Amino acid sequence: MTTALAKHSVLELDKLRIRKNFWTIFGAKFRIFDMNEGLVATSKQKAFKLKEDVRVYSDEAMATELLTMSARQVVDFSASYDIVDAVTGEKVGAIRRRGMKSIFKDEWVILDVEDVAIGTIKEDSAGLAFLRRFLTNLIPQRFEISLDGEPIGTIRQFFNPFVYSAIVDLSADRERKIDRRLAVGAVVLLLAIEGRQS
Amino acid sequence: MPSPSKGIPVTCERCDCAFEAAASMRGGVAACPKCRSAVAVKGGFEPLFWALVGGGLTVVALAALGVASASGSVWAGIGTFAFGAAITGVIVSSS
Repeated sequence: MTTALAKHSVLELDKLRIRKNFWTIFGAKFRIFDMNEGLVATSKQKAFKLKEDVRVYSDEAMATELLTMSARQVVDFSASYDIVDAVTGEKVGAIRRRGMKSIFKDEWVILDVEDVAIGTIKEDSAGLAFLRRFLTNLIPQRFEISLDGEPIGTIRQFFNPFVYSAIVDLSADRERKIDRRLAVGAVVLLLAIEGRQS
Repeated sequence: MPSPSKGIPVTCERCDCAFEAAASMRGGVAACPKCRSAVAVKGGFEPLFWALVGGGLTVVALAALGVASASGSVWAGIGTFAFGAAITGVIVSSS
C-alpha cells in the first residue's frame, strides 16, 4: 500500500499503548500512543448507536478519519464488525466474536475481506478468564493474536482500576503478514467492546 | 467464500460492478471484487431486535395503562405511551 493511510505512524509502529479516556460521558474515547508517549491516533466509539460504531482518527481533533469499524447487526450474539480504510474506502477485513466461547474466555476471529478466517485473538488463560468473570475484573487481561496459527502479537492490559490501558505488541510479526490496518482496527474494536466489561 | 446460492446481490457505487456478497456479510460491508471499495450490504430483518422493540413497547403500553388507571385520566396514559413510543422510535431510527 502506498496510500497516505498506509504511511500513517499508527500503522507503522510495532508497539502501541492504548488508553481509554476516563472522563467521557457518552460513548468511549481512546488515545493511541507510541512507546514514547507520543500521540499517534485517537479513537471514538459513538454513543447512542444501536449498531456499534468505532472510528480511528489521525489526531486529537478527530479531523481525519483513518479507520471505521461498524457492527453488522444490532443484536448479535456472535457479533461481526467490518473494518474499512476511511481514506481509500477499501474494506480491509473484519473480526467476529465467538459468542459461546467468549462466555468463559474472550475469543475473536480475524476475517479477511471475503470473510475467511485468517487469525484469532484469544484471552490468555481459561483460569484467569474465569476469575475475571466471576470473582474480580481487576485482573488485567492479556490477549494473544495469531495469524494462520502463528503468534504475531499480544495485547496486555495494565492493572489500573480507574483507567483502561493496554499495550499492543505486534513485533513478532516481522514479515508484516497481517495488514496493519486490520490489526489496529481489530485491536481498537476489541478494547472498545471488551473494555466495557472492566 | 461467497456462496452463489445464498449470496446477497450488491452493486458497487464507485465502479457499478454488480456482485454477490456472502450471506454472513448481511448488514455489513463487502469488498468490491473490481475496485476493492467497501460496499454496504443490506441488513434485512433482525428478528431478535424487533422482538426486543416489541417487548419494550409492551412495557410502555403497560406503564401507560398503569398511569391511566392510577391518575384516572386517559390522556395521562396516552401521554405516557406517546413519550415511551417516541423514545423507542428515536432508538430504532438511530440504528
